[in-house]
Amino acid sequence: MGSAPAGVSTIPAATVAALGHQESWSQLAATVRALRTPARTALTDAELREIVPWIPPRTVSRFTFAAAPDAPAVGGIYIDTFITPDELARGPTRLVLDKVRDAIRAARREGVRLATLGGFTSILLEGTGVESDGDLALTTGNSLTAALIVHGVERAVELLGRRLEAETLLVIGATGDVGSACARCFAGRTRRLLLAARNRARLDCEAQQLRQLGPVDASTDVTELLGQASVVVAVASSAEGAFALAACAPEAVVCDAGYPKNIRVAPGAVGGRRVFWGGMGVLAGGLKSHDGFLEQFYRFPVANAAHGCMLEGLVLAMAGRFEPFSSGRGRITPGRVDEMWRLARRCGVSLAPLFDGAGFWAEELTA
Amino acid sequence: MNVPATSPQISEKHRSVYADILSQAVTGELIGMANYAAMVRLYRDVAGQQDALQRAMTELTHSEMFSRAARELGVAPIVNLEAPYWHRIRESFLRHVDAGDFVACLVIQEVMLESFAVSLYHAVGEVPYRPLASVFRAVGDQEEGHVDHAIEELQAALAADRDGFEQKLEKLHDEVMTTLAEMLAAKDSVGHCGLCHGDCVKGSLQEVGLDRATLRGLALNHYLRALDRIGVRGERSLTWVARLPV
Repeated sequence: MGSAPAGVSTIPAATVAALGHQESWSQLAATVRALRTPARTALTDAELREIVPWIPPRTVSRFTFAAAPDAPAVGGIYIDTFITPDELARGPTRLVLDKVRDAIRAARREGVRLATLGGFTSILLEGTGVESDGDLALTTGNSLTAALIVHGVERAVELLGRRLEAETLLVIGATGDVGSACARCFAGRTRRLLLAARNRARLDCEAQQLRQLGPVDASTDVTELLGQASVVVAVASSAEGAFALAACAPEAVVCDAGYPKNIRVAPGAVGGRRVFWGGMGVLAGGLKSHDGFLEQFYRFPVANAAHGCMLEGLVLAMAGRFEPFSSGRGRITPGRVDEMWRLARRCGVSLAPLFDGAGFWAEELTA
Repeated sequence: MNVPATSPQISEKHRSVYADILSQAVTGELIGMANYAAMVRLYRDVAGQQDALQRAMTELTHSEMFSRAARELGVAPIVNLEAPYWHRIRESFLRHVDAGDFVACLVIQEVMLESFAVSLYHAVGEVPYRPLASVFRAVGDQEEGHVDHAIEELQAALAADRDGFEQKLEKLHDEVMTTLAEMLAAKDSVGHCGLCHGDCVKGSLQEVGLDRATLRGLALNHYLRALDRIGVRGERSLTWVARLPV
């Protein structure tokens, strides 16, 4: 997050809501810490766990954003579902889905025209038949997420002086909405494409279609494929726990864009492997909350960065396209990814410099 | 377990926990009765005064339902309107009655106290001793049905002056919800609550399938949803609840 969009004299009414959740208890602790006045003692983990699960989804912050510093500002809101990391780990339970539905109701109460369902919340649009209506369009944001992942992998490979067509690329979560979109975008562009997913029938169907474009192998056992891949795109919304980076090939490039994070990075086990958090973009015109609160917990090494799912909503709002651009599951084609990417570029979105939990890639700093 | 109400086959431990819960319920309903009775003078029209009196009577009826349940259980609830927490809430309420602040009274009684009561009654409505559970469920359902009219009035007050309304609500929150949250917090600031027969019941709730943290969470959730219905901005109410005692 950086400076306020220039030329803003009044706060524009919000037209778009970004729905989301925090990925870790430490992130939630930061959120609650920011809400409590400094005079109050910080809550312990146990106390935090006593409060957060009971908070109904609600607007947490209001912000403005723009395509360029001198472009007109647009209003948005961030609605947190308060799905806890523990609930997230249990998968799409009724409780979790109810929280997402409540968050959509909160968006309706706010009178916005579009809601983008970030992170794990998109599961509701992918598999449960929740539809947009005339007043509120719902998008998963997955088209722009896929675009940013694809462009991120291309950039990573380029920065390391490698060629995509020489890589063996594995998609973990290949039958999910983002995973299948990525697999389709990479099909025929790599030496080999490896697909991993839990649902055998869907996996076979996806693999069969993509084999028309190039060599594809598929397995329901990720560990079987992990060591073979020189590039890994991890986009599973998995409750099964993360995979160890050490299980990846020694020179593997790993794009982790999963919720929760799919790859477990143990210090000392990195070796020649490279990890970046995929699906991240930067908005040229800025993204700034009215009260400075969003910046307390939604912060990245680069200013004005946001997840692709969030940015898709902002892009559609800036373009005046209040439509369910990404919905359902497995419907995103390379053509739609390209269309969203072109729209996003026109609205000031670019790929975020590659970074992970430790900061920027050294190559980004010298590039 | 389904046992005849007149000869409850329950352990002394359970009976003791239920007695303390009933002490809170009977006292809370009498506080509600007194609050509605005090509100009568805030209404200028007879219909409003009748309504407030009717609500006071309903609270008295609830108190009597709990007292009857206690008798059938063979326990004597402590009725103490001067119990420290309830006394603090009552004092606060009366200050706003004296100031003629109808909206403040409505917020305290219908949003804060009712959220607290409804969520707790529904939770106690799941205890293993069915006759008692059914009384709590019935009263919880009745209390819940009363809130709608108040919500409409408060929505109108918010629409007339959002900032002013939310500022007032924040002050009331700090005044009253802090006390209510403390009643279910891990630590008490007042020593003995004045309603438990012996040691604090909070540590024994699990005996009957309840626990303090869940009860607190349910009350918090109900309260926030009531504020959402009124139209209070989510980010405002979130900051308020984040500073409640845990």
